[in-house]
Amino acid sequence: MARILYAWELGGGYGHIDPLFRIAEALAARGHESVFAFRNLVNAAIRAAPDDPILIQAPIFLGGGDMPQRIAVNYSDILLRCGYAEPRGLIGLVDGWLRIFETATPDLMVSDHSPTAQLAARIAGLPSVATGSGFMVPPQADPMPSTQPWTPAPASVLAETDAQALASINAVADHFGATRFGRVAELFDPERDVLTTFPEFDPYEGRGDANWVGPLLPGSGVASVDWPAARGLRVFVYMKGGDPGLPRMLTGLVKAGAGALVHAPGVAPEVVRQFAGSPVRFCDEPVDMTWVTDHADVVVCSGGYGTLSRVLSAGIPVLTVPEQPEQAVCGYRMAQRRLVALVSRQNLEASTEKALTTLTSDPGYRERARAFAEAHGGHTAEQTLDTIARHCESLLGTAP
Amino acid sequence: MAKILLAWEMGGGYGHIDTVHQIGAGLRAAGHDIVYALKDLSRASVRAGGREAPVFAAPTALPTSGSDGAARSLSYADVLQRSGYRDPRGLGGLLRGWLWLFDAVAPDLVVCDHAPTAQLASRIAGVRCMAEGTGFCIPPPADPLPTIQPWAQVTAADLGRIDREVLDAVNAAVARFGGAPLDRLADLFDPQADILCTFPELDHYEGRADAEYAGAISSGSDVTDPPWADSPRPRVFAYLSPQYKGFEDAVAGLARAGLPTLLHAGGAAADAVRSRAGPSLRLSPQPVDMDWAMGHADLVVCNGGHGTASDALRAGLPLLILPGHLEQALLTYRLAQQGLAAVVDHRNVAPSMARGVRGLAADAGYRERAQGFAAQYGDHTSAVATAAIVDRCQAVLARPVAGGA
Repeated sequence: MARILYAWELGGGYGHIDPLFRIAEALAARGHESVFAFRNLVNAAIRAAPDDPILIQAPIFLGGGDMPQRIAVNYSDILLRCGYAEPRGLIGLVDGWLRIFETATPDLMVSDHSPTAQLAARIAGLPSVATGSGFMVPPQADPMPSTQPWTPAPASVLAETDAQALASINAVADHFGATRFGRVAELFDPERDVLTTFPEFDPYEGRGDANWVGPLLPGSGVASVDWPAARGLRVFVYMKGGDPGLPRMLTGLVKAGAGALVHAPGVAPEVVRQFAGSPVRFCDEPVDMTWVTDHADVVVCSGGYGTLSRVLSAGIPVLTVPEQPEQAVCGYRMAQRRLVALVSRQNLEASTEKALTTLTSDPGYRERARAFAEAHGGHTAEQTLDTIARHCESLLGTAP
Repeated sequence: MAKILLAWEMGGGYGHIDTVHQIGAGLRAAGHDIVYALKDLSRASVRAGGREAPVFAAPTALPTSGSDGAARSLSYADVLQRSGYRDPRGLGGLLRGWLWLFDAVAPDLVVCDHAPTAQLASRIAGVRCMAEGTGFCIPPPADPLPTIQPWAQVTAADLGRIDREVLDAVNAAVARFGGAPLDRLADLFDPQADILCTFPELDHYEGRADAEYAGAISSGSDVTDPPWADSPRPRVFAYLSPQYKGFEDAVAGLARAGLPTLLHAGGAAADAVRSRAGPSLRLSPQPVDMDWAMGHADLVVCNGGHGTASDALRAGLPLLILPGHLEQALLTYRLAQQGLAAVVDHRNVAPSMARGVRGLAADAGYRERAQGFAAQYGDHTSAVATAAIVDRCQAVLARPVAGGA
């Protein structure tokens, strides 16, 4: 029937590969062909095994030129770090995407964190659907709003980053003889794009109409692990083992009288030894989230959407310890909405103790978790996939 | 005439881009159709300006987290292992990307500049292939592949183990495509076809037997800085990257040396340099015309990149090197062995740099040896090297195709 190109340009790990593969599977079940232009073919092939999808190398930005030294103030500032600070370089990247479109001849592109692929698709007249979280699919705003709402940059700085990114975008448009863009937000299209998340997780306030299709949830793991005995709460912790804040955060939990079951992949043996004899147990294998939500009083995580969705959907309160900018801004917003208690890295032990106390003493958090569960508890990944598949087919004009 | 795919997969900076562009231009002038598959499309576009030939993104492995492991690579096999060759499934992903490209382009010949996976894909697809590049990119065809840390205690057992691991991964990946297995990892390369874009003195490997050296290809640029060129001698040209450890101390050391210095530090935050610079130190943010710079300098300070080292020695200029990564450290070791370069002590960069610059400026021995090199290769130009490579391409095109998958 149709040929669909799945594009992944920015970001790491498997978090962009897995959703696109799942969407592709759903569309393949409806008879459509898939080709994948991905940033990291090594990871893609490992994830796809034993299947042999058609894999194409996506053009990727590898640095160079003068890049801003500060932390990104908004989405346009992120673009400036991903090739948009150098217009001639951006032309090269877009040309690479156009080459792929010309060769693979897709009828539709579905992308995840791929602004340059979207720019190229606009130039080529290829219909495209951007998917992802609110952070990856910013709102139709001008300028792009701050991604650090706790210390928002002045409006003039936000406007300046937008202007610089827009100048590069339009240098590209001019080079290829395409219509110019009026603003950076035109890289996105709220009618076509789908947000694979819940509105409660939006790092932006006041987004207009959007296609919220809910998340594609994480997989399962082992269940039935023995909980360490403690006088207080049963806390499940899911963080990166290498997170330097992990030991102090756990100390904060112990001080608050909690018993913690920890899944921290890659945690150093010294850290595990540090907690020998205390009510902290480390589990090497991933723990089944359904089992966790049946047994935990509180979950601590860095704020990945999959975990958040699962846990809040079960009405369990959450404490987040963000470890990267997207988690930081989403954590901030969700704390404002009283969906999670946010831990500050400035004083991890005390902040963890305090957050745990807040979470348990303020009934508002449990109430909001329950409200979330009522609104979204029945949600399944299959629903998301079905919605996305029907949406793509309507764009292809092949809707049933 | 023929359709030729020029492939670049690994390594960074502008050297590979400039080399394949010059070879591409030479092949086009010889009447062939050129297509590029390049690792870094952004830099390639900045360099190339107008589009003269189609450019695809080359399949490439991305650094895994904690990637200062690269500094510990024992051999080229180890480099491969960190570049997607650890897991045969992952390697299969890269191969699939290359095979898609070969399908799209239908090349008669693939010319590989630091593109081992393109070489492997060519074997699978039964497409003619040859490698061109520096010594580092074309290891001697030994079994196991030799050490790239000649200063360290690396045993034959270590090298053998790494070779076997990588060979197993390669053969598992190749088998999935129905290809014939390799007997040895060295068989990725073809000494009858491959050509070294360097001089024996700049070969990362010492004592290579039966090799053909085409000499180096230089990068271009046309920006100059006349005020520096008029300052009193001795004059220093420094080309250092801020991405490497010790950069700021190196700049402080250059300033302390007090000789008129032109510093090109591509992509540097100018502030970092200005705060450390002194009255004798001028910063040129643009890529500088190397021929011009070398023509006005008395010594060159750099990180040990092959291109800069080659340009300096061909201009008869001694080198002071602060290596940034392992490949540069290896070249520096080789040059130091031959008395063609002095080395900055990475444990004490600023004072060592200052002493090194003054010392090298006053040392007749290093200057004589550099001038000896320049005299020996006085007739060499990039055009000569390019012509040799073009000739080799045409010779390989004339050979029958090896059996494919």
